[in-house]
Amino acid sequence: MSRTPLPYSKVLLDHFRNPRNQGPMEAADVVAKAGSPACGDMITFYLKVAGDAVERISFESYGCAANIGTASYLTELVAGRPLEEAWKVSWKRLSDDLGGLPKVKFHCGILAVGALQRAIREYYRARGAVPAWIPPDLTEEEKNAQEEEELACSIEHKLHP
Amino acid sequence: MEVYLDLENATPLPEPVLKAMLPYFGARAYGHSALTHRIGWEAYAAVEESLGRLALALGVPPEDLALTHDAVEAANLAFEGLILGRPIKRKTVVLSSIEPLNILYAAENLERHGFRVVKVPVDGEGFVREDALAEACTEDTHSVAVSWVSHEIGTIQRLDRLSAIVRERAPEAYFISDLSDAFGRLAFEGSALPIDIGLVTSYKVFGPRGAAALFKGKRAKLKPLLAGPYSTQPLWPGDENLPLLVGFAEAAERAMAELSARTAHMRRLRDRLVEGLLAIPHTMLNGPRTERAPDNANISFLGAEGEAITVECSDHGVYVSSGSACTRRMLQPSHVLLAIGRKYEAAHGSILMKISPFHTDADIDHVLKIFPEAIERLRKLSGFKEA
Repeated sequence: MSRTPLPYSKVLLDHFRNPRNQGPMEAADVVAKAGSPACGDMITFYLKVAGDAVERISFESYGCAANIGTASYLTELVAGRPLEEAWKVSWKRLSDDLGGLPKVKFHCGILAVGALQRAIREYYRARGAVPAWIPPDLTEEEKNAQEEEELACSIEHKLHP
Repeated sequence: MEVYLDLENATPLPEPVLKAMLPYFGARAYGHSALTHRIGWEAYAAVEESLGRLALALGVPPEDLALTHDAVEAANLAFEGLILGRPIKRKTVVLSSIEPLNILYAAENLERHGFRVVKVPVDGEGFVREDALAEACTEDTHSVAVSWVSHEIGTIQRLDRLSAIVRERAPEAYFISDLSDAFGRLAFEGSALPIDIGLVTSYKVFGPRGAAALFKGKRAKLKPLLAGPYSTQPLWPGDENLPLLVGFAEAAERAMAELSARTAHMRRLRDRLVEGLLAIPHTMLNGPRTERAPDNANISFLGAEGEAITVECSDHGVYVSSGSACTRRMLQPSHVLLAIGRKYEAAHGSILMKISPFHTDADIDHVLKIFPEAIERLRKLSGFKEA
């Protein structure tokens, strides 16, 4: 008899139970966070870059099983891949690969993508050479992460000024 | 080993209750209680007998009882039934800010009749602030709802004092109390409680899901929300669900007959559970230590998100629920935990557990074995730094 909540696929649960590339990375070239403990969802990516490609990537996640599983899966997907390719991974792709996230968990997938894009943008920004494939305006996923953070801050502030 | 602690949302059905119900799914499954033949009379007798047993367990006259199919229906019948029963000009409903969602939604549904809902704050342990209640009760107050026992943090309200405040400030207002978490946990006689309407739910006394009841005092005049040819239930017309009613009565009777033994057992196991879990660093108990329902345990774990805790525990055969936004479709953390002043992170990391009379020490041993490991793993994933 299954003990696992229905809406999660086997792939996602496997990543939740056995997360890949987990933990902080001391030698990281860039570290980016998205979300906040107040949102109940926070992802941090650590990236080591070599020749415009992801040499190593790791993550930390404070969040639900979907958040943890998605972040873990994303690290596996982009490890060793060119940064441009990593930038272009959509949350829809993640959701599809993970057997379809339940609708209420879409934002977890979006947050993971937003956090990774933040890391890549920050990596190039710090080096003063942003490639043409990174648009000047924030992507939908980056905006989503920002909105979630702002919302959580404003509610938390109203409750506990 | 499996330990089911999510008794807030559904409860297992004890064997004797199932046995009492079975004939009414089989040989006695038919017969309409409103018809004049032997089979109908027998069905009618079974309804009456069950209502009588339920009334006795609640300590109310059977004629004051109305059956519904669940707590949502009962709450809607209470609020809207009062409005239909006696049209009056007062248009404010006062609620504690930690009411269960069936009460909250039913009250807010009155906004379509031009009512407004005022929520009274509670203190850090969930006790209704008496000064705020006094202030909220005015000549416009139609009704006041405060659950005797909080479904989520177990706070036992001082019902006498709250009712006295309402009587003094708004003498005509009705006092509604959801007793679902008091029934089978506290000793009481329904008709002696200082309330006008009380609500109870079958599954919370280990009866079947799909049955609930409302009882009303003499002041409360209710009218049904639904129109239909009723059988025995003028306030909730339609067919009674006889097997579930029989099960509810059986479960209620057992809950009251064994009340002191059950509560002592639940309290002892609950205290073990709470003590064991609070030994994990960076945890906090939500709700009071004393003046608390004997079955309720609600603990926040910092640095671990509640939904992930429920999945992790589920993998180890322990079933619990969380006040985290991520376990709810509306993506807002528990309004109860926010109302007692918990920060978002504490609400997101909260776990609600209830002990039944049927749990054992071995169950608690298992929970206390797997929880520290679960929290440690999730905290490692989140990079939680112990201060």
